Amino acid sequence: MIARDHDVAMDGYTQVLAALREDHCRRLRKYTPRPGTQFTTWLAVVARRLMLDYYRRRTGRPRSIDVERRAEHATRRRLEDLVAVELDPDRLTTATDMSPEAQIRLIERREALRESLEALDAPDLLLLALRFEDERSIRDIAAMLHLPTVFHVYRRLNAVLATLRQSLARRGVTDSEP
Amino acid sequence: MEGRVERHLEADEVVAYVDASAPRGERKRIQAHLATCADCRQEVHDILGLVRALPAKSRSQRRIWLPAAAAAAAIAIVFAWPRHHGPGVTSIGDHRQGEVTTTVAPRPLAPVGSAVRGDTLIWSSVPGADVYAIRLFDAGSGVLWEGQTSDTLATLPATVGLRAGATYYWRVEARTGFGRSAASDLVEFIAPNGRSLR
Repeated sequence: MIARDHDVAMDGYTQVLAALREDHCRRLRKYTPRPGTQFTTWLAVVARRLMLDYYRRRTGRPRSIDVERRAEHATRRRLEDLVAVELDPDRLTTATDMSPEAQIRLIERREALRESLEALDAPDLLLLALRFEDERSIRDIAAMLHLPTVFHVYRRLNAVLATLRQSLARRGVTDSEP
Repeated sequence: MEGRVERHLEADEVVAYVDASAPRGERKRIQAHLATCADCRQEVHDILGLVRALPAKSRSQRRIWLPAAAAAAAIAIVFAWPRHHGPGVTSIGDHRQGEVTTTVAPRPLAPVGSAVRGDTLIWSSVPGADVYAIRLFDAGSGVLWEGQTSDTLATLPATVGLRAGATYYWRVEARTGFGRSAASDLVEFIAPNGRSLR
């Protein structure tokens, strides 16, 4: 595995360098310094995208991770389902286990949660996506949200979940019974 | 919450977000997009990891020799890439725990730049390292030699012939056990002119 990865890595390295050199380093010459940004960050983005294109051409895999994830995780639950479990772990029963009335109630609860999620600010939605969809470590979440420490992530996550519970309560969802 | 994504983030937007230089309104707009786009979240995650792995000096330098910087960044990309996206790595859960390591990377000492000697590779020691893995590349990215040693220097065997005046690259990786390791930057040197290397 290591040897194979090394060979792929060196092939990719060659391809990336060739792409950067093309047309008198046309891609590199497109770089425009912007206040507060680093050239190395920009170069990493460009090189990663070139490598991704090379890897996708080489393996024939779809370019979009979104497409892959939908294909590979066709039965994966939506964010509101994942958050619902976090808010109330007792609610693990599926719709097929319930009476028709309970199923309707479950649909109403999910709709209420969806509306509550849509009312969140962008950083809080991103926090939930990182935590529940991507299952990122708390340390990674702190970096991606530019929060100073992991404790800020824990506090923010608890606050967002409390906000969701309050929002659900305003929408009539307060008990654990369907 | 993920719907069909109409447009992914531009490179400049990713850079502004990663470097925390985007104005408040733009930052929120980018975060709103990231909340619904797994592709862009993955990109931001990967770039953050790469940027954090670079030495602080590299992050702050403004005057950079473009070919060397391009080579260094590309090497960082490709050596990081297969561990996250290679065959067999399919579970999102593989990324749940970030790599935990406090291993300091070794620092290549010689040869670097215009070399006086090119037959012996020397680097700084790393506390706790029990073995160092060294790789030597030519300018065409071919691996000329690789070896392992517990010492902090390695002498190239006679079978490795360096061409006087030619450019070569090398890096060293310190392994401290428990699967932890830290690799140096890729460094460049020019083999000495006008004299035998042996």
